Formats: sequence, structure tokens, C-alpha cells
Amino acid sequence: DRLVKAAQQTCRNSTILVVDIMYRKALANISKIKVTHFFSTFCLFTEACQAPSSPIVLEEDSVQFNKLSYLGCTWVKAPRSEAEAQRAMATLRAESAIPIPITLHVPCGPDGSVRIVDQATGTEIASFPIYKVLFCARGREGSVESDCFSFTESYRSSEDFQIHVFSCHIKEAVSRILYSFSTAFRRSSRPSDIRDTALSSPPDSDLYTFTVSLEIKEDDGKGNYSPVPKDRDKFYFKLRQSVQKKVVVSVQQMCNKELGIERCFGMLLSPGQKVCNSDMHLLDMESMGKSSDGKAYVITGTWNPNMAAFQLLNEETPKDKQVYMTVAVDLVVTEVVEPVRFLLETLVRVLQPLHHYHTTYNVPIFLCLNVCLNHSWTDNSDSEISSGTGDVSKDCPEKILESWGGILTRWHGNLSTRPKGLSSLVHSGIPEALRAEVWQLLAGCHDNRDLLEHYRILITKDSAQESVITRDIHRTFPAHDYFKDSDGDGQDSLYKICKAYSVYDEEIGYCQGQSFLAAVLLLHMPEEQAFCVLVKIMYEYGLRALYKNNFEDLHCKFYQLERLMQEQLPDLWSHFQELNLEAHMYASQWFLTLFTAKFPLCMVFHITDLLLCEGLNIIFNVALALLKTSKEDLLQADFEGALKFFRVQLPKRYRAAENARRLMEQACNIKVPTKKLKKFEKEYQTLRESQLQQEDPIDRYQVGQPHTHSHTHTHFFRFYLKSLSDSVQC
Amino acid sequence: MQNNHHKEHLYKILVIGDLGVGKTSIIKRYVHHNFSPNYRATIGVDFALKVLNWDQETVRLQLWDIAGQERFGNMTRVYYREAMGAFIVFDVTRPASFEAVTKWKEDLDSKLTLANGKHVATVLLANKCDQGRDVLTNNGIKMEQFCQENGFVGWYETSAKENINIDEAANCLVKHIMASENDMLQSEVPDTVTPQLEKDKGGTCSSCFRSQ
Repeated sequence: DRLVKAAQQTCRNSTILVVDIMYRKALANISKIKVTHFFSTFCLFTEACQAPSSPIVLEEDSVQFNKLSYLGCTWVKAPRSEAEAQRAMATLRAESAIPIPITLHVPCGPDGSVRIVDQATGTEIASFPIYKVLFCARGREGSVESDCFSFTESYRSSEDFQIHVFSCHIKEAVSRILYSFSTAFRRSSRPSDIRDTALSSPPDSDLYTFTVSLEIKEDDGKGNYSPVPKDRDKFYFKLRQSVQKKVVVSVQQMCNKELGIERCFGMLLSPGQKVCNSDMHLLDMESMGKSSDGKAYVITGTWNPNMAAFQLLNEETPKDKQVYMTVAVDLVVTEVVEPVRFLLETLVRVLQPLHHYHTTYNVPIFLCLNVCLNHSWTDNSDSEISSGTGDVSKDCPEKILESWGGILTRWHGNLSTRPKGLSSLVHSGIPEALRAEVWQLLAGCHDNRDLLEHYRILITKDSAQESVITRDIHRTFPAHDYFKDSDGDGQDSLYKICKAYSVYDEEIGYCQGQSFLAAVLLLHMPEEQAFCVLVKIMYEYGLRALYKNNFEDLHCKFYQLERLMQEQLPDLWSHFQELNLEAHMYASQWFLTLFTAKFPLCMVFHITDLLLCEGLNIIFNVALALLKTSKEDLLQADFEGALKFFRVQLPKRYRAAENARRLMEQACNIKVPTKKLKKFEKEYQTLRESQLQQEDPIDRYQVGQPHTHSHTHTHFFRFYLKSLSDSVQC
Repeated sequence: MQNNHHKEHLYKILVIGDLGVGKTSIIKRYVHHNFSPNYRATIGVDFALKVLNWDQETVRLQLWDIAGQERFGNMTRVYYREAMGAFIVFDVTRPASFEAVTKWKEDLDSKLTLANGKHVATVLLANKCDQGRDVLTNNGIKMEQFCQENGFVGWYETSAKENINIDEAANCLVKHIMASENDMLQSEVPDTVTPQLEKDKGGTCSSCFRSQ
């Protein structure tokens, strides 16, 4: 996390540098971020092992274990640390003066509680709902603590973790108890092969079980890949040195409401177990998608064993030894806000390249994983996504970076004209690492020393709108780390930039909505530079005009949008007419904030790319693309349904970066001819003029005739549309 | 099977007041039963729908959450039309937001009247009452009197955070809207036109057609 922050810092502090330095820096950033960028990992350390035989006493809803002693509990800092658990067990095993003989009840399902009952009196000492149990561990084999087991829980709050330690009079009970815990974590009765399961952040919610199988395939020398054999008893893979390999992971959901796996955006590999993120290396993805029967999601990656990072898995393993390796896949699941990582640890043995496999034990290794989804991760269909959400991948294919390198070199050679081929590159999105530089170049901020200087003076001046700005600062991108602390750098810079603008532009001043745009810029560059780009967008790109004269231009834009809709989406247009759903109801926010307030950041940044490259009219392309892609949903909806759709479902759809990318592609393909816009603008002006001429008499009429609705003359939107449309009677 | 006489009412309700007084929070609490200190500033307008069961009838409240910055006042005209009721919200910890209440009320009354010429039912909300009630006690403001003088049908000390009085305030508003609706239906003369109450007719105001 700190690395990400540091990387963001470098990103924000980057000024316009000589191209190739920037380019290399971008690459450096990417390699660093590629692996540190990750989210809340579902830690699911699993390993294939034999399921133990049936437990001791089976009650109706729980399994009861006798002949146990409760050794006590202690606090731990890291609830899921195996090392801490081992330490706690060693300490309590050695120090526990009066072990209490107890009976332990482990529930059969995720709804129950673990209960500790005093054996002598039958009274309950403590009980913990199973979802509060975070981690179970057993004492290390061969140590004094091998008869111990422990579980960690967060009973009182999410920050305090207590570990409870027990010893078993019958040592074999340890594995049975752990098995019971693992079954308690899952709903399906399907037996599986879990040794210990750690649930990250257990909530009061649903459990989803996945079966994940891992298969490794090797090139047979003729370009055909066939699965490598596995050891029959110890379940390890047998690999050959220096032979090209493929890793196949298939994920199948076993229970609960079906979650949609949208895509895999990374398969990673590393030697060893419990490896840290930065040691995992991305494999080239060969394919991903549903299996032929549609039940599982299959990801295939290619593994070049000769790469230095995988060296340890390419050295012959000594006889009778195995080495660990870890495979991870990062999946985008529709109903889960954050990407989900499935982490698999397995044993392998590396053999000589020419080794001939004797056995052909080829059953894939199955692992059964339980994923406990927190409510905040799953899609609660009524809640909006927070403003400023979404990770933005800093990953970018090398080829694209190379094209950008070329373009930037030419650009810096001649700053007065945009290089050829620029706009098509921008259309597919500027690489995150280059945005700071490209945005400034696009906006024409390369020689803005005066404005930069001016900014330093502006921030020292008082603004009449300070209190308004203060109220908005903590309401801008509250979901983003950089802006979430009320005394953090983010809010401080945001305040300064908004205040400076309100002083700089006396006529407009601060207007609600600006802070979102300023925040987008601040996420990429230092304050002064962000201010320059903001000024350019307001003045030269014309955003400023929308705020002027009682939003007159904004209303013109709404009119233009509705006319474009009428031509390009006639069915949706008539539907909206029937519902009396007008553009200002959904598009005010879109246009005034340039789509920055509600959509996930990956999309927000991409829209900013397009805006800076193509100008303000791009808002029509984006709006039309949004309407086009949601047409089917919107045609089904009534007034409230449609507005709710705009508020809730629509932004959610673009949390998946792929969807956002496609939308942008569509936006770029939509034709919004300037001629048409001009024509519509004239229409609007004509209407508006006749409207204004009528306004006075109506007002007078209104005073004298209280029966008339005062909104009559505010109906001009409806009037102008009706008067223009032959299909609507008026 | 049985003939359904179940009546459905659709009321458009405005939620207005200075910025940062907690309009969005009140709506979230009322409709979604939750509260977060971190809402996004509202730009333009947002919507929420609350469905109530009211004496065996269904009441659908279309809540219009309107941006509080003064500048947007110019756009309120578009938002106000066809509303049947309103909440005006102020923040008990900020005297300035209370001073703005009369301004909002005047704005509302000048731009919106019911078919019978009366103003729409408006309830005053003294929000953030969990944070103290300085504004209410210090200035010696007689709230009852203030409400009477300014044409509010009632007022409530509310807290979106602690969920205080929000349902009560909404019920009060609905009660008054229904009363004024009945009032209008009764006083109806053939030539005047009642605002749309049935949903299937859409929200178009029929008097507009008449005036052409």
C-alpha cells in the first residue's frame, strides 16, 4: 500500500520531463505497481490433503469435542499470521497454570457459533459466531505444541483480535477439529480438501464455495501440451526442467447465488509458499473464458521456465523432496466491488528435462475454497457506488507505451502542433503513467509560467466562497484514499485549488461540481499544474460557459442532446417524452462535472483524455454512448426506474474496466456533426427568444390569475420539443 | 380476482435548503435506512423513491434532492414544477443556513402554486439536532410562530445520523398533502384543472394544453 502511495506521489509530482526519461519512468512505475496494486486479497491458503474420518460426537447442528483443555487466550496483532499463532500456542502451552477441561462445540454451518463449555459444570464459558472466527491453526508437527490448536476471532470489534488456545488429550483430535472448522465455513456438504481456511474480513453474510482446479501442461516437443503427472500419494506435480509450460486454472462455483466472473486480468506465479505480492510474476495470458459446458471459468497462462523469476522452479529437486509454488488468478466478479484473487499453493518436483514420466496419474488437483463475501463487496442493488471509486490499472502493454514514446518525442520537438496519430492513441485511453504529461500537453499548458506564478499569489487571497468550498471538499471523491482524510494532503490541495479558481474567475467563482474535476487533475499532477489545466478547461474548452447566465448554455446543451437523441435514438427519445423525463434530470451532473462525480475512476480518466483531445463536444458522444448502451434497460423503466438506473446501475456497470473501455470506444464511434449542433443551437435560440418575449405577459397573467400554474412558462422545454416534433400532438 | 380499488398516490416532494445541511443524508436515511458521513455533493438534482402504505392506500413519494448552492437557484424553477410538497432543511449548528430558510421558502412560493392557488405544503427540518441546538435556543426564535408566519405546516428537529424524527416529519408532510389534495378535489369547478394524481397519465400538466 505504501508503495502504491509512493508511486502515486511520483506520478503526481512528475512534471514534463524529457520524453525518454518519462517513458522509462512510466515503465518503472508499471513494474512496481503491477504487483503492489492489489486490493483485498481473499487469502485462501489451501493445500490438498486427506479428509479426516468422521468426528467424535455429531449433534444436530454442531460437532462436539471432549477431552480438551482450554489454555486461555491472548491478543494478536495480525489475526491471520501463522507465526503469531504458533507463538501464542507456545506461550500459552508453556505458561497456562490451570488448564480448564472443556467441551468444544463446532457448528456445522456458517450460521452457528463456536461454543466453549466448562466440562465440570456444563456452563458456557464463551461463544463466538463462526463468521467472527478468522483463522485456525494447529501446533507445529514435532513440537511440544503439536497437540494444540487455536483460533483467532474478532469478537468485540474489527480491530481487536483474540487468539484462543486449546490442547487435546488425544492428539489426533486436532486435525478433526480443524476439519470441523473448515466444514463450518462452508454450506455445501461436499467433502473437500481444506486444511486451514482463513477468511478475510468475515461479515454477517453469505458464503460462496468455489472449486478451483489446477493443471500444469508441458510441451511434448511437437507443440502439443499435455498435463504433467501428479504423485499419487502426495499430490505434487512432476515438472521437467526447461520445458515450456502452461498453467490452467479453472474456477467453478459450487453453491449460492451465481456470481458472474467477468474476466481474469492476471495470472501470477512464484516459487515458494506464502509469497508476498511483489514476488509474484505475471504470466502471459493465453486464454480465458467459460468452459465448454459453461460451468467453470478457465484461465490458461503460458509459463516460460527459463525466466529468471522462475529459476527456483527450474532446478532439479533433490530426491524425495518437493518445492512449493504459488499460482494466483485475479478475477473480476460482477457482484464484487474489488477484484478477487484466488491463491493456490501446491507442491512440485522438478525433474531432468529428459525425464520420462513413469506414472500417468493425471487427475487434476482440486481445491475447494470458501469465499465469504462482505456486504460492502457484494452488489447491493440499491446502493450507489461511492464517488471516486475504482482502481485504475497502471499496467499498459509495452507496445502501446512504445507508440506513446514515439509520439511524445515528436511532440516535444514541436509543441505547437499535435503529432499525427495522436488522437487515435488517445481514443483508446492514455496510459495512466503518462496522463500527467499528456493532459498538460493537450491542454496547452507547456508554457504557462505566468499562470503558475499567478497561482501562488491567488492562494494567498481570501475568497468570498470559502465556506461553500469547505463544505464540498470532504464530499468530493470520499471513496478515494487521497481525499478521504479531512486533514490530508488531498483535501488541502483541493481546497486551495478551488479557492484559487474562485478568486481567479470572479464572474463564475466556485461552482459545485468543479471540485470533482479539480480532484481528477490533482490525482495526476501537483496543484499548480492542475490549476493550469483547470483554467484551460474552463476558459478554452468552454466549460465555463455552461455556468454562465443562469446556465443558459447548459440548457442549450440539454436541448442539443435531446435533439441528437431524437435523431439517433428515436425510440428512447419517445419513451422519455412519455415519461416526461427531461435531459436536465440526468445530464446536469454529467455535463457540469464532465462525468467526473459518479463514474468509476478508470472511466472518468478516460473521458478526461477524450475531452482534452477532442474538446467539449465529446460530452455528447459520451452521453449518447451511455444512453445507447442502456437503451434496453431504460425502455423498460418508468420515470423513477429510469432515474434510479442513471443513479445506481449505470455507474456500477463501468466498474469493470473492460465495460468502460468498450463504452469509450462506442463514444468515439458516434457521429456528432458540428453542423447539426450549430443547427440545434440556432433552433434553441429561436425558441428561447420567443419564450422570452412571452415571458412578461405570462408573468403578468400569473399575478392576476392565481389559477394558472406558475410553472407554465418554465415548460418551454417541453414546448420546444413538442413544437419541433410532428409526432407529438400539442 | 377481486376488483382492485387500491388507490395509488404519487407525490413529488422537493428537498431544498442551503448546501451541506444534510438533504441527501435525510433522504438516504428515510429511503435506504442508512447514514454515512461521506456523501458526495449533489450537483443539479438527485432522486429517490419511497413507497408508503397509508390507510390501505399506496403513497409513492418521489423525493427530489436539489443542489444547495445558491447558483443552482436559477435552475430550481425546472425542478419545482408539479411538486406537491417540500422539505426545507437547515443545519441547527449553522445560523446562516437558518437565515436562508425564508429565502428558500420565498423562492418556492414564487415559483410554485397548486391548482387552487395555494402554496404547497412545506415542512421545516432543523437537521443535525444530535450536534446541539444552538440556533434554536440562543436566538430566542419561537419556532411555532416562525412556522406560522412563514407558512410552514410544521417543523421537526431531525437527525439523519441518529434517525430522529425523519419518519414523523414525512408523515406530517404526507398528511398535509393529502388534505390539500382533498381540498382541491372538493373545491373543483368544471373549468379548473387538477394536477395529475394518477400515474398513468404522466406528469404533463393539462392546464398547459388548455392555455394554448
